[in-house]
Amino acid sequence: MTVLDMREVSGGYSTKEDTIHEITLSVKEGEWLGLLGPNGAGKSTIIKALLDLLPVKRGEITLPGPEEYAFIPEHPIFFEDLTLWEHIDFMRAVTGLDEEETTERAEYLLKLFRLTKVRNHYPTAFSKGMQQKLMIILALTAKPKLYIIDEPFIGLDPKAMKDLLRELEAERERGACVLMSTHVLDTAEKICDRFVLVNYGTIIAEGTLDDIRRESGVDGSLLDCFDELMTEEEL
Amino acid sequence: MRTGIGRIKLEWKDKIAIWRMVIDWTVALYIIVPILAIGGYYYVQLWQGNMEHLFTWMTPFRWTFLLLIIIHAGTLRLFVVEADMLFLRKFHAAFQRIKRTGVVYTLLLNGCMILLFAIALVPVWTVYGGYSAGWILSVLAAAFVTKITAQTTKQLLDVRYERGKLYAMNTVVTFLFTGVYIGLVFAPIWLTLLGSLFLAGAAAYLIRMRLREDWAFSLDCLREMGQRINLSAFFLQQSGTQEKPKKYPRKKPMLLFTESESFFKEPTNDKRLFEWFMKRWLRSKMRMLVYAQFFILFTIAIAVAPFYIKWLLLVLCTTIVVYTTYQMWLESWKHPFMKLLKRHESTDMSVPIRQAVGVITLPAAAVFGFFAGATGIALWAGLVTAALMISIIFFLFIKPPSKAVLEKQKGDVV
Repeated sequence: MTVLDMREVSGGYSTKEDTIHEITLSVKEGEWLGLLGPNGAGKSTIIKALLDLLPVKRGEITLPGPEEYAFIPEHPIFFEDLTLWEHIDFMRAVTGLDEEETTERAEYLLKLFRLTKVRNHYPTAFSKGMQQKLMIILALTAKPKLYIIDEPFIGLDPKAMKDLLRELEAERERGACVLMSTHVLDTAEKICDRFVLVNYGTIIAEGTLDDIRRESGVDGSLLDCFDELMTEEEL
Repeated sequence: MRTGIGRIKLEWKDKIAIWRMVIDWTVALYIIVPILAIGGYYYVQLWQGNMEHLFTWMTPFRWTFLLLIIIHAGTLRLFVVEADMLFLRKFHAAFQRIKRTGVVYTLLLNGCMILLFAIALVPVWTVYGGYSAGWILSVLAAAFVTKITAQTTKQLLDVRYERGKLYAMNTVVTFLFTGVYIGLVFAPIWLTLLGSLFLAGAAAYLIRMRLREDWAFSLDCLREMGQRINLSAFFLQQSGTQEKPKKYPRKKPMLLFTESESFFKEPTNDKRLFEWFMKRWLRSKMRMLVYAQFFILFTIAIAVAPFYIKWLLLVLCTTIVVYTTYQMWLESWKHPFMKLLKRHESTDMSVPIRQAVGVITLPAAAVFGFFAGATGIALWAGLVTAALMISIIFFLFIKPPSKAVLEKQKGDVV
């Protein structure tokens, strides 16, 4: 069953020029889709368009109800005068999640990401990695159907990266799907079922790893295929 | 030197842009132009000697102490930016030149501020006080050197100490330089000039010391950033949105209230949202400052207004406090964090908003009511009005809706 569907979407920050051009992608239940591309390719713009944070001029977007997806932004966002635990509490109050279940899950995630000791601290005093962990905990606590994740590994230590992947894997078993934009290609290669390669706001290749290999004519890693496709595109 | 001047120009460009944004033609037409016209008229009257009544208690000599406001305002500017760390900081001579440009700018700015104040005060001193030009110049010189010495001393302390110690030292320095200025004003002209000369030497020494402190680069950058956004922060603080960067941000809040479960008998989402807003409000220095400004200004306005205006002001000032608190709530609700939580559209926010606005307004409304009644009629009337205001705020805002109303609301939503 398709959870997220984006059909020929174009739009951007400027009224004159589009940043993303006719983007079509979909994510099915339990599927991991990797949104890949170089810096400035338009990955984050696609995510913003999906979340209605950017004007979409043409195309259609089908997204599950707001309570059924969670967004982990590239740059952590938080209230400067609320503590870590108060953010979780606040999210629970606004979204109306079950109190007992959410508390138990949040406690578990805090322990997993080693943030229990700083639960009563302001996130402004955290390192970039710790702030990113807070964003991850908030998303994972909600247990949604779809995770939209923008560059999840930036600032995370290897242990946290591994824990995040393990938690997401558990979520996949539950039937949750993931749309993830990333630069970390070797990790993406291991965990994603399908890939969408973007450059200059346009999709240049998509499909499984085999599809990408066929399209690039390279029988190597995702990075090699990526390299080849980018070179072709630049030429 | 050119880089330093470029940075000053850029800062003024930004300042002018903010002023232009705030003062559109309607503000200019209805506020600035009348103020200039009325101010101009009274200034001419001042020179013509028609305002003797103003100086019966506040004698021309006492007006000299108004300069203390200017003396304790502002700080020494250095115009360093974080980007200097990449390249410029390695080239000591060029880096020092930028900082020196900042010092010259500070001196000029201080001079201009004192000159502006002097233009306003010269008729007071000459027409009504009969003071000589020599005395006026010696007082202005004393104000100028006291200001620059105080600014530099405070900055030297600012990079060395933090929190309580810094506050204590700043208080001591403020009192010390207030005393120095008062002493110089009371002294004979020759002693004032001699003291000013001594202070100028001290200021030069302290400035040189400050310029050599490259180790305080990060703190200087932070302070400079605060100075750059000073003007925008001033306007934005009225809505409680922006705060200047903090030198030593707190790790944990002073007001935690983690055990809110015991605080509320039956914790519900509404109560949690109320708690969330109260915590954000109480922990924000800027919001508290706006509230305190309103509290003090409105209380004075109600107390001194004529009898009938008093009651009108009571309603108006309470409404303004309610409206401002509500605006702060809206600002919280538009916070980027809300991008992560989409479900709020279906969440009924009316009860927690109402209660939070009510709890915050309650003390102000009670005090406004007390002063309206006490200054208008008698002390007992003040107490009655305060009780009346508390009751109105409670029943309009704080009283939780009955179970029947809640059930009905739920039914309507379904």
